[in-house]
Amino acid sequence: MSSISDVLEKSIIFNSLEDTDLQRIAPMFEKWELHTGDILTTAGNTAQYFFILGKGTLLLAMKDGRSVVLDAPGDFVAMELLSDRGMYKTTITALEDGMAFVIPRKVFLDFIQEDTPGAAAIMQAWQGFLDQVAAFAKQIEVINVPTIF
Amino acid sequence: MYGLEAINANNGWATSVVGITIVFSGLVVLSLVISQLYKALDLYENPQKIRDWFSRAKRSDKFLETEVPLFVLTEEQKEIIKQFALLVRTLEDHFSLPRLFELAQISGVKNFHSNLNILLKSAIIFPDKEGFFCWDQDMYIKTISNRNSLKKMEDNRK
Amino acid sequence: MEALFLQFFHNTGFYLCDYRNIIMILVGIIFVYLGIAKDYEPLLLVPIGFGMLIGNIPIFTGLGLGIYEPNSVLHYLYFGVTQGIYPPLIFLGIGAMTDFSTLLSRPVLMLLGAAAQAGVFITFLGALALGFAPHEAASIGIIGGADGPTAIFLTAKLAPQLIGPIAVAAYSYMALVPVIQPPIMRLLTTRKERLIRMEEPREVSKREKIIFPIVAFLLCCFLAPAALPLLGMLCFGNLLKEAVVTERLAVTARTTIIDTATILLGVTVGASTQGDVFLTSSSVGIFVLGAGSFCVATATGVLFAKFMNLFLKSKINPLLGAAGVSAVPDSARVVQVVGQQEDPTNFLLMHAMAPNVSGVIGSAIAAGVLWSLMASKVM
Repeated sequence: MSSISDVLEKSIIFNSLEDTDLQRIAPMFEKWELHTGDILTTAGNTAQYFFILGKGTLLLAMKDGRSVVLDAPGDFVAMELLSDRGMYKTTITALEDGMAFVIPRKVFLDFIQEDTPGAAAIMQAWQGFLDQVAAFAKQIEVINVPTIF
Repeated sequence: MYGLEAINANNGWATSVVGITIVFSGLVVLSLVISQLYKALDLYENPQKIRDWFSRAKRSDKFLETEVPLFVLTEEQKEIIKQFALLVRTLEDHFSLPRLFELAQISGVKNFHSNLNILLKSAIIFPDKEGFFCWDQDMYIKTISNRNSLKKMEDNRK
Repeated sequence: MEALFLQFFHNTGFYLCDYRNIIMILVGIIFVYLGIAKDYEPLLLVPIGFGMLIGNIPIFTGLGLGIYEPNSVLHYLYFGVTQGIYPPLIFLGIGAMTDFSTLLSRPVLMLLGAAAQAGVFITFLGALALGFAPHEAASIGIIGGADGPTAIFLTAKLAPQLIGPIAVAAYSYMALVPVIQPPIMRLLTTRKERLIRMEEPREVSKREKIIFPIVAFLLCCFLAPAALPLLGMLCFGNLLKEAVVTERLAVTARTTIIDTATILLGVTVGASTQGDVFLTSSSVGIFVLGAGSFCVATATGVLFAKFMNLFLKSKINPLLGAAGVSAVPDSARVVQVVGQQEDPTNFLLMHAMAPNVSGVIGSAIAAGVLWSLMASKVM
C-alpha cells in the first residue's frame, strides 16, 4: 500500500468522502519513511503534522501512562492539531520500519474549516474511530475539537 | 475478680479474637465483592466483551489444534522476550506500555522497539481498551516453546 | 395552712435536691453551652444536655414523673431507647444521607474501618479487667466504635442500666474527636506519610450505588445476623437515596425521621442520667475506658493503614486510618485538617469518607457480633 489514494480509501475517516473531496485532499499529503525507533511527535510540543499510517506500527504514548498501538494502514493520528492550542497529546514512536503520509497542520486546517460536508464527515468518522480504537481518549479529544464541529 | 484473671474467667481473649475476626471477614468479603462489582456490571453493560473472550478462547483452541504458531522467534529473540517477561512482572496486571518501553530502555534490552513490536503482533501483549496493556502468559509460553516453524507472521500474512 | 405550705415545700425540688442532681444539672448546662457556643455536635449535645436538666429535677417518687417510674410520660418515651427503637431509625436517616461513592471507588479503604474496630475489642478486654461483667464490658467496648446509636442500641440490649453513662460518654467523645484524634495521628505518622497524596477515585456508576446497599446488607447480615436492625435500616435508607424514584421517602428519612428520633433519643438519654443513678464509680470507669477506647481505635486505624502500605503499590495516606472510627463526618474532617496542616493543597476529606462510612458498617457488625456472643450471658 504505497499510494496515498489507496491509504485514504482504506482509512475509515476518509473513505466516506466524495471523490471530489478525496481528489482535492490527496495531493496535500507527503510521504514519509519511518524507521524503527523514530519519534514522530513529542507530547506537549506544538502540533505540526497530521499522520495517516501507510505501513508499520506506531506507539502513541500519553503523558498519563496510557497508550495506543496503531498498525493498520489508514489509521491516523494527531487529530489534536485541530485544537485551539494545537499541542500534541501523545509521543509517537515507530516500532518498526514503515511509511506514513503527513499533512501540515495549516493545510489541513484550511481544508477542514471550510465547513463542507466533507469536513463534517471527517469529524464524524474521527469520533467513530476513537470509539473503536481508544474510547478512553475520546473525552480528551472532544474537549479540544473546535466548537464549529 | 479483676485483671487477667477476670479476662480469662470470662473467656475474654477468645471473644475478642472471634469478634474482630468476624468484623474483619465481613468487611474484607464486602470489599472484595464491591471491588469486582463494577467489572461485573461492565460485562453486563457490554456483552460484547464476553463474546470477545469466547472468540479469543476459540482462537487459542484452534491454535492448539493446528499447532501452527502465529509467530516464531529466533533464540536471541526468545531471550529478549524473556527479559520483557521479567520486566512485566514488576508492573501491575494492567500496565502502561510506555512504562515497559522505558524499563526496557533503562535495562538495556536489545532492539527493544522491534521486540516490543513482536510481543504486540504475537498478542503476548494485548490492549485492555482502557489505554493499558496486559500480558498473556499462555501465549507467551506457547510462543517461547515453539520450535516447528521458522516462518514469521508477516510471511503468513503475505 | 402552715402544714400545707410545709407539705408543698417538702415536694419542691429545693427540698428534695441532692448534690448529685446539682452536679448533673451543671454537666447538662455545660453540654448545652458546648453545643450552642462551641458548636460541638449541637444536634446531639443540646438535646442530651437539656435532657440532663429534665432528668435531674428532684421529684417526689410516686407521682409518675421520673423516667424510671412505670407509666410516666418520660418512661414511655424512654421505651424507644430501652427497646432499641430509635437507633435503627437514626441509621435509616444516616443511610439516606450517606454517599458511598468513595468507598465503592476504592474498596480497600474499607479495611481501615474494620481495623478501627479493634479498639472496641481491646476496650472490652480492659473493661473485663476492671471487673465489669462481660455484657457490660461489651457495651463499654462499643464506645470505641464512635457511633452513638450503635452504642445505645447494644447497651439497651445487654446492659440497660448503663445506657446513661455509655451514651453520654459516646457522644461526649464524638464531640471531642477534633481534640482527641490529632495528637495520636501525629504521634504515629511521619511527616512524609502525612504528605502522601491519594489517587483520584474512579467515577462510580449509579447502578453500582444502587446495588451496593443490597449486596452489603445481604453479605453482612448473613455473616452477623444480629447487626440486622442497624445495618438493615442503614442499607435500606441508602437504597431509598440511590434509587432516585423513592426520593420522597429518602428525604423524609434524612430529615423528619432522623430529626424526630434524634430529639427523642437525645432527650431521654439525657433524662436517664439522674444523679443518683449516673454518678457511680462504674460511670467513672466507663468514662475512662471510653476515652481509652477512642484512642485505641484511632491508633489501630492509623497503624493498620501503615501496615497496608507495606503491600500496596499505590500508597494510602495513613491519616485516613483515623477516620475508620466512624463518627461521621467529624473524624473525616479531622483527617482533612491534619493533612492540610502539612500540605494545604492535599485534599483528603473525600478519601477519608470511605473508611468513615465503612466504620459505621464495621461498628454495626461489631455490635451485632457482641450482642450474639453476649446474649446468652444476659438471659
